[in-house]
Amino acid sequence: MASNRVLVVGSGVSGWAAALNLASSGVHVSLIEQAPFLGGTLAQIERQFPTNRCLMCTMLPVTERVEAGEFCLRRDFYHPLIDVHLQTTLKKVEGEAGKFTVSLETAPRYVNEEACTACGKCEEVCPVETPDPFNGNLSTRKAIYTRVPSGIPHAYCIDADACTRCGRCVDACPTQAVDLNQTPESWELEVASVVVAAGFDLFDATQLMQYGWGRYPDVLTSLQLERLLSETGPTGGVWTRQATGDAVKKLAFIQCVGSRDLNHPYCSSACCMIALKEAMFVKEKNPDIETTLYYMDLRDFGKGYHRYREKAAEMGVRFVASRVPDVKYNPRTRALMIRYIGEDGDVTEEAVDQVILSVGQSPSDRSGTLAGLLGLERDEGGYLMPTGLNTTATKREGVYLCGSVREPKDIPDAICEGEAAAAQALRWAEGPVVEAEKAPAPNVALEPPKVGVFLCQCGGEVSGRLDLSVLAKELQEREDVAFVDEVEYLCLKNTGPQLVKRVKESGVNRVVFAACAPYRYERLFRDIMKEAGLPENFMDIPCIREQVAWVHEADREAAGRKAGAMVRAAVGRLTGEIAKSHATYPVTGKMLVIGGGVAGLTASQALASQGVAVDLVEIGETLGGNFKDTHYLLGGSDPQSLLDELIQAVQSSEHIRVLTQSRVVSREGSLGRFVVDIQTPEETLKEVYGGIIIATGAKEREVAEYGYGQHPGVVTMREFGERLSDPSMPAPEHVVMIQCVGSREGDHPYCSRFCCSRALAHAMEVKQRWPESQVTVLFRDIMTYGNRERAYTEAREMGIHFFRYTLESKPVVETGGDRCTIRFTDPVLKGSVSLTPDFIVLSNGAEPDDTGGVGEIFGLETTPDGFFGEAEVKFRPVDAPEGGIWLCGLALGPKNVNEVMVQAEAAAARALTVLRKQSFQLPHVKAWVSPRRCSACEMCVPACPYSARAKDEDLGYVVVREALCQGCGVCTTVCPNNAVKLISYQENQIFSMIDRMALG
Amino acid sequence: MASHKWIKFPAENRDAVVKELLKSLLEKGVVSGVVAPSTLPSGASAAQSLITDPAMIDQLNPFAPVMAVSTAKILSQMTRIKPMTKKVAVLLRPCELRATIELTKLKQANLENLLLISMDCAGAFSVKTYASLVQEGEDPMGLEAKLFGGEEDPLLRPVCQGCEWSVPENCDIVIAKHGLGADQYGCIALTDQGDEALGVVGNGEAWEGGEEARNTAVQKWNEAKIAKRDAQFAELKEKVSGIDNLLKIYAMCINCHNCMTVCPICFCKECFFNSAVFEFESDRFMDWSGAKGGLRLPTDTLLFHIGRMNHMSTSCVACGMCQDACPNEVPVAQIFKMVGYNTQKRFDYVAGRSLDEPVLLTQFREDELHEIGGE
Repeated sequence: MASNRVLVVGSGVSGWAAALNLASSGVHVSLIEQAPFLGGTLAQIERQFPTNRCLMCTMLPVTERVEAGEFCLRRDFYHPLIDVHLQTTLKKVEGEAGKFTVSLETAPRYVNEEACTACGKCEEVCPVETPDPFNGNLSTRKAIYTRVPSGIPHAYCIDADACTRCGRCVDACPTQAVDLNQTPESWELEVASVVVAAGFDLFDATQLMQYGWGRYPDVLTSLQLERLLSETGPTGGVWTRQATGDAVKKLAFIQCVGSRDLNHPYCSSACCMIALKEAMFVKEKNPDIETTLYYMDLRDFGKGYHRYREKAAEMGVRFVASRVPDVKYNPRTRALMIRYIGEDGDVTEEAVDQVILSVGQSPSDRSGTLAGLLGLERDEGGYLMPTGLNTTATKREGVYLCGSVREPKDIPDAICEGEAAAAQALRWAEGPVVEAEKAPAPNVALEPPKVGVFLCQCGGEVSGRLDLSVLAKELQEREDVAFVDEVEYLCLKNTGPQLVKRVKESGVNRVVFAACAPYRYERLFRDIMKEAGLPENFMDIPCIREQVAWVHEADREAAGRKAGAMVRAAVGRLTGEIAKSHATYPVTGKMLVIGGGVAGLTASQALASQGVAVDLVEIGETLGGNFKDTHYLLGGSDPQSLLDELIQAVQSSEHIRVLTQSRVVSREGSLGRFVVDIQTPEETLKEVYGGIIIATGAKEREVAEYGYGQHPGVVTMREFGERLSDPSMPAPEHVVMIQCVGSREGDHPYCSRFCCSRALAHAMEVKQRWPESQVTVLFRDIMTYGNRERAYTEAREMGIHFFRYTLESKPVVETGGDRCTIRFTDPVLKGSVSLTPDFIVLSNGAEPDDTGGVGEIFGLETTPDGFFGEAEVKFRPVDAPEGGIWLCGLALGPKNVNEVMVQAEAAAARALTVLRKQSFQLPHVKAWVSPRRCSACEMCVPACPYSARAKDEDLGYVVVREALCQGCGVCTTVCPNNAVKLISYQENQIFSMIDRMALG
Repeated sequence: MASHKWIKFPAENRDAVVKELLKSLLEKGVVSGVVAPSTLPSGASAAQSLITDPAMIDQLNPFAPVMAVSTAKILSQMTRIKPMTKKVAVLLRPCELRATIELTKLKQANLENLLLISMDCAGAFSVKTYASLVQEGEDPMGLEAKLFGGEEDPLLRPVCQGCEWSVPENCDIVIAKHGLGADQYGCIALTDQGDEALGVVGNGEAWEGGEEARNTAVQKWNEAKIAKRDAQFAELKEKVSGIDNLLKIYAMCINCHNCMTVCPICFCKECFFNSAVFEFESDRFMDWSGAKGGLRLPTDTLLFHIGRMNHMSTSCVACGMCQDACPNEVPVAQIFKMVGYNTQKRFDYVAGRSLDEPVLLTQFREDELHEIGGE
């Protein structure tokens, strides 16, 4: 029998996406991480472009979310089906897909995680100061340390390289958690499949000596600047010249450090945007700081990125297309001297105060080892290779790759790949995991409230800073409080059974655990409730350590008062608690996919391969969409045979019903049960679906520029591809391609992402077929991100000419003669060049297209550029804001076909989280509407961030879409009429909390 | 806007022209009903009526400067369950119009099949004042001419004295005064529907060049009103700042909830403050009293006003109905207007200004209130 467990290697954002998706689909996950803490590089980054927010937590599941904990993902994380193993590496993989035996090794942490309360006493006594890599080595930490973004502690660990084994921490630890005698532990695991998300290493800037990193204090990496600008950083957000402590007045970013050079034949994909983001933060701090980006191509190819760049330009960030050979230091002026070679070949020198090196992603140093033990190959850049561009699969069946371990990439792409890999890995796993039938908890809501209170002393951390006995005495006098116990450590493993016993014997029906870190211990206390036979939601965790003892250390009395108020409020809320435990929500096991292009086909196939029934609705007569017009791809694969295979697979699948010339005309219901009317040529079908994938694509932008339509020699890139695909095409003498036609300017301020790759594929085809033919590409920025960079290099080596043009000096086409004439400026010759090619090929990009009107039918949001908007552009790249609807392909924005396919698989993976289990548990905290009170003003409908509310026209009042309600309570604050109730926080509970806080 | 009809006619014919307009609309079947004020039998007040028989139009007193019930509330009652299926003309003051817009956004009224006729408004008297003026033999209608002539009338409801929104915007027809001499009134269509309706008026002459004259006059009028409003705010702010002052100014409140009952924006089926949430067992009262040694009863007097303010001030149109309804002359409309004005200003919102501006509570803006919440 196959295993129902999947191994995920790496806890960066891609691995995280894979693990969460697998767990939500009902599979056990073992998530291993080499580092002592979770989160990969992202934990160091506070804000993301283009939102300038973190928003990482939006990755957490939206169904059964309570199971996965709900707190800052940069702090901690849990899911009942995900076992996290830190400091653990993969050693061996034996067996075959469905039944692998993996050997793992866990390095010693020297601190027992379960016993550590993160009180910090060890850190106080540790005599070792060592540079802190979390802060880019700009600050120090002790040899025993915890990573503290946002000030919330996690279990400590010991840096073995720095530790002197003095043993002071062992003596200082009040819970005997430190164990210097720990040794590496080897162990084995049976898994059905393996997802490798081992990530990247940041390029080591010491390799490029010419920039002076490590030599000049004011040459920093972009990650160091990120930390310096962060309020959790080494200086609390105070950012100055490192050498002098003076304010920085002139700042330079050097792009492509460790990318796009001879030794690193790839683009790191994200550094341009990171530099833009940091430059804007700097400008926000002080608009007078001169901030310049020295770049080769500014790769703002992602969704909304070009607008972000325009905003940076508006804020005064300067852009210089150039190469910077070196940085020198002038000891007299104490300035850093940047020399740069501009587009014109001229060398200019500029003095700046600080230089930021935009260091790229490098292949992880684990990737060699991983390649060896998994039997995979690496590309010339050192990245692990999947079997094709369009897939996460490798040549070893059951092993999948995602994220930057296979190619440098930005977050949304890494997440899509993680999810796509999860969909693949899922195929080998048994399941889904069904929780053992448990005896239903008694309905204690009907019993008179009897509250038990545990006050955690935290070994003196709390009891030493406020008088718990006074609090206990006062609480004991309340008639609804049955007992108040002070406990030395509530969180320790051996305390648990005592707590269960106490709860059981005392006969209480509600429990307050006055403790710390609710995000960390919620699961523990819920288990105690369950074991004691009580409903798990009849408890509360006032946080009296971080929120009281630690912050009011100076005022014992005030700390006591505040702790009292918090505990009493918790008692007050619980006395009014009536919520029943979780209810089960059924899901219809059938999916609707709208759009029969590559995205819709791939998504349908991915769903069908897991046995899910799919209706694929296509408005046109045939399947294939825009991809039918693609004849050449980078890397040489044949697009049309790829498409034929895909269509063949879909049409022959027993699980897929294809409805062409059909469209969705209306929709009712929501996640789990959508009722959709579909108009086919013959009839109107009324169908029920558990979820919907929208893949309605985009269309080619219409061209009017550069003499298009006036001369047969001026063609679009699509038309040129068609000509090329005709074997009888005569050899052209000269082909000129113009990139960014109508893109990244005017009313299309976005990059269409695929045009540069397609232009290169066509240019290289011309050169291969007719080596004598000339090909010239006029571009603004070549968007060959990731491994596409290699094609760009190759194209130049083949003799294809590239000239940059700017918006101020666009090429000019004259269509008067037999052949067109094109004039443009050669920046090197600083003069005008005039050519008379056979073809002028225009890369006209894509624009939004919602012919079928699905945007309105499904209430989708659109971005300012007119493409559909996702729930969160970085962390939920294929989720529509409304649960149960997923998006993929060009409908979300232009992209290359391999990205479309990965995204479609990601959308299918997201849908499987709901459909595979056929039902899910609703949270107990959720809203309901009192029909008697609801005036149907519908203010709550747009106010709800989860589309969980809609007016029922038949009933005449607003109803809650139960499956979507997250219990956030926004509706209750908007409703003037108290028609909305939030279970567990109803008004009697809130009033009771206020009363008890105010009255004592 | 200039593409629509602008007509003017002699001032003494104002009532007659409006009545003729409404009557013709009914007779020609352009509308099936008319909602407008009629004098009540006592003569001491006026109330809206729905007239379907053209013969009864003569009983109307369309411009009686008194508001017993907000027309917005009436329209909500008439259209909430089902929109009008036949066209009805409605004559209403600008504040009533704005409240109607607000209620429409709140899904409590439906503008379908309504022909909205509003007017340049000089303000209204409280029901009590209007009644006593009538009883004393004074013609309240006569006072209006003086008001448009630039005189202040201390008898006018205080919110009307400082009303900067007394020129209507979102209607089909405006009965205009601004920009015309003392001897003239005008009719302006703002929509195609308004044009069509005005087509039935026989007399009157084209009001050439009216737009410029009107703009100048409106600007001047509004400036004076805004100056008055600011003076009122300055005076009031002193009186209501801080909890002690607030308790003092609401000391006369008898918790009758009249202000809520007449408020056009208070659309809740049952007010939260009338609900069982505010029913407590005896021990709670003793606990509360015990904490301070004494407790004002009923407990929710000030809380009611603050709660109501929290619920509706973002949509408050400052119509003044609440203050008219207060038996003890608490300046409740002025307080709500000031709070409403400041809250709405902060979010660049004006209650009733536009159907396209979503009500504030449904909006989330990432960049707001930095001075309170910080970055």
